[in-house]
Amino acid sequence: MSLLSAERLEVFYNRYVQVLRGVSIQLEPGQIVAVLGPNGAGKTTLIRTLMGMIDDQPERGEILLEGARIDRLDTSERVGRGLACVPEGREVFADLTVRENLLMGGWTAPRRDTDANLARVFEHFPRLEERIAQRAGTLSGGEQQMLAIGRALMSAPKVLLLDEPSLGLAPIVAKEIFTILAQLAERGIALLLVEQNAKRALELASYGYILESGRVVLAADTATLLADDDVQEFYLGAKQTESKKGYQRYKRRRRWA
Amino acid sequence: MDLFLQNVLNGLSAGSVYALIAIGLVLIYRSSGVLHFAHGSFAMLATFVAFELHQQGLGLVPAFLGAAAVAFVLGAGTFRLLLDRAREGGSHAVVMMTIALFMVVEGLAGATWGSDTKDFNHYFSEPGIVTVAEGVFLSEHNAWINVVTCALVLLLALFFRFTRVGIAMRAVFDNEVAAELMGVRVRRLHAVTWGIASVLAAVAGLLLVPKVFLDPSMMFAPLLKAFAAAVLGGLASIPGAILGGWLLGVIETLAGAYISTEFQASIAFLIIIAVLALRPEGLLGRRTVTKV
Amino acid sequence: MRRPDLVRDYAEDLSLFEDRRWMALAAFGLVGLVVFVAALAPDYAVYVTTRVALYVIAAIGLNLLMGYAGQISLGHAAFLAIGAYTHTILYTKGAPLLVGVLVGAIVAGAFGFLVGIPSLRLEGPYLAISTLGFQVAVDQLLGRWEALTGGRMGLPVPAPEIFVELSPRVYALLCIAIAALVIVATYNLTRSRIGRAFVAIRDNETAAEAMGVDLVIYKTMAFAISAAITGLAGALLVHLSDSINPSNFTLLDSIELLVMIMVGGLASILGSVLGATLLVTLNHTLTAFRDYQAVAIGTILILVILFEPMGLRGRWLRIKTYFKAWPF
Ligand SMILES: Nc1ncnc2c1ncn2[C@@H]1O[C@H](COP(=O)(O)OP(=O)(O)OP(=O)(O)O)[C@@H](O)[C@H]1O
Ligand SMILES: [Mg+2]
Repeated sequence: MSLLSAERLEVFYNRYVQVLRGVSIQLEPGQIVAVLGPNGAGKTTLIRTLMGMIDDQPERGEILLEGARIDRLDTSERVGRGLACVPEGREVFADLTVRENLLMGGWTAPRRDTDANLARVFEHFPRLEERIAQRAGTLSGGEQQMLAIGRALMSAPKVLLLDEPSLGLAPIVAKEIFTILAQLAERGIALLLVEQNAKRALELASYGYILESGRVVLAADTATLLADDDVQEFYLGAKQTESKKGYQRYKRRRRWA
Repeated sequence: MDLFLQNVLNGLSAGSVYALIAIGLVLIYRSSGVLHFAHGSFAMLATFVAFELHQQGLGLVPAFLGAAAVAFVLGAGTFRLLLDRAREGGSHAVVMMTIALFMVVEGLAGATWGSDTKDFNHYFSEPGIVTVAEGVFLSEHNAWINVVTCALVLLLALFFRFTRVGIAMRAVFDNEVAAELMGVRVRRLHAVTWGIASVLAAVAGLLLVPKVFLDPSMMFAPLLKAFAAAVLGGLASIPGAILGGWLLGVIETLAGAYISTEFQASIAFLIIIAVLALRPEGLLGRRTVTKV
Repeated sequence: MRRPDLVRDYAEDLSLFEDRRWMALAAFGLVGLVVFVAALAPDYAVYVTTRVALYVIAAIGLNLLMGYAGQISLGHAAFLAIGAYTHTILYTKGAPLLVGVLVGAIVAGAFGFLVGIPSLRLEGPYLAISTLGFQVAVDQLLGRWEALTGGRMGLPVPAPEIFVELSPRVYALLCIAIAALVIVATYNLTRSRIGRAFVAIRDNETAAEAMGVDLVIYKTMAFAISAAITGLAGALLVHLSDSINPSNFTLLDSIELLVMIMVGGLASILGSVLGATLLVTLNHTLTAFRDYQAVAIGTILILVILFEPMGLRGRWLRIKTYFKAWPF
């Protein structure tokens, strides 16, 4: 039994626009799983569905956390059971201080754990402690991303869903964040990592899914994915050898585009 | 000079009542995007409830508490049962819903209590006088108004700064989706916000009632002025609303003393239109960019 | 199982629904109404019918602004008042009736233009508050400017006269004719370039502007046309009694106009007609329940918003669809 599993999820926006067409994923404790895919593939939709942020969805399919169905629970209950999310674009509470942001992250956690949770976050992100009274809107992009992750950690989650945590960050800051993600996994938190930066994501993760137009077109451990020609060409940007004919390229592109 | 100070002080007292109502308007607008035209009607209803409870022989304090409880339930229930659904119909539906509530509440109050005015004097209307400085006085009633308002404003500031629910409310004002992701039950919090706003309005009604008479339309003019105050402050800023209320009260009183008492309501709206034309984001407001 | 007859093309489908039949029905109704008013109706019914006709005009004016152009106004009774007072003053001074009415509409339209200017910078809630302010200010001004308006006492209104004095029946026919004209004119307006520009502004202001709709022109135009139509109704309303005063044009009257178009259906001429008819009739039949009138109207409005956001017109469309598909 996996920690988190989604089975054949089908999700619609506005009743008739289908965005996920039977997506299944599995996540084990302490495992980092990458989800890659082009813009509009449905990666954010997948995360929003797992969090219960899309009303009355999934239309079909199941979501199980530790073997129990959670797909009809509201977001609040899912957070209470150990799901947390770092949304696309960080979405920190700009008018609140760093400390208040973190407190909001611990909204569903027992109050007596607040101090311990805060201490744990500061252990990973000492920079947040230095800026504890600063308004989140005035933090730098990298600091805001750290805050968004720290905020999600405040509920002491078992599973952390991250939507493009390196978006818009300088490579060195992104690297710092990825190091911390690895530490989190070592502590037993399962991470579902949606990324544009495929190379880095595949280096960090042990397993990966490739999502296109709402379908999982490839799922394998990362070593296999890194060796795959298509992944190399379309996600890692590797140059193809001369011997490939234009016709083949065309066929392959159709599968990916 | 003393007369001037005296007028300013009286203006502040009038403005305190506007501020209390305006804070509620801002809270409701920020949390759920609703412009609440029945806000004054709820205050009026709560004041009638206090009056009736007192008539039934209850002490003033329990009567006031009962009125506050009724106001809270009325506000929270209105959001949960009516406004939350009306929001799905778009902005016109929302405005019309609160206007419909205004008609129903005032209509029912008129049918129940008649439109003949009643006196409702209580603690705050003791005829005493407080000397503020040499030659500057405050009626005991106005002193009460200012003290209660300041105490509530302080309490509210502490609430928003230090309590879990208060911080969560600010988080919801700031970013509703993110708050939901943290596990906040956003709708429940909206309802609580409506409840608190309605209690503030009820307090305004109770503070004001000895000055006016108890009748179904008693809160109409104050509500209009509170709207002016809220707009002065930028409609989304609580300190702005308080400042706006006081400013409006002072301007109005000074205009009454030195120009004419006849056009008080028009003065309020002249101010609104001037502010809207020159500084739509309000005196303290920050300019926001709406995304397409 | 039998299916309803196939409709062969879209135009046919529409024609079943809209234009031809509906026009015939409307013409038929109009003739019936004229006969009723001219010959059969008791005096009181003539009076109520006249009010219905005039409030149909006023509601159409407001609906043009709110339903089509998407701009809210809580101050349309002020435009009624401006039309009414302008006409009364001119008419008392000897201007011909139709001239007074026309000038009343134009002056109201000019004020509408002025009120529309802030709408260029203000969105929903602020516009609601500033039009509310306009309503209150006009109300106060009418009450205080005694030299011009007679203050709270109001002004006497001479009997309507076009060459000869018009009996209430004849005046009712005149109002019905003008209402019919307004209906046809606005119906055409909403299908014109201008009408489409209004709808574009309502649906997405920024996109409309990007597509070349000049917001300055069209938004102020929406206010001006809307105010002029409502002012026209205000001017004609004065002859239903022998005096006017500010209490005929309060915020509650503004709200009543809003209720008419919400209950009838936003962005619909038919909706305005239905809403105005319903509300005016209710006002004159529920007189026994005067105390509960506001409650009743408010309750209707709440129910409409919760259960039938498209108003009576939505109901009507549904009933039509039902009969069209009968017996299924
Ligand atoms: N609220 C919505 N209503 C309707 N369609 C939506 C909504 N949100 C997303 N979509 C559509 O669903 C599809 C998937 O969007 P999603 O945001 O999940 O993609 P993504 O994989 O996260 O893309 P990106 O890499 O750009 O973040 C897109 O075609 C998008 O237009
Ligand atoms: Mg995305």
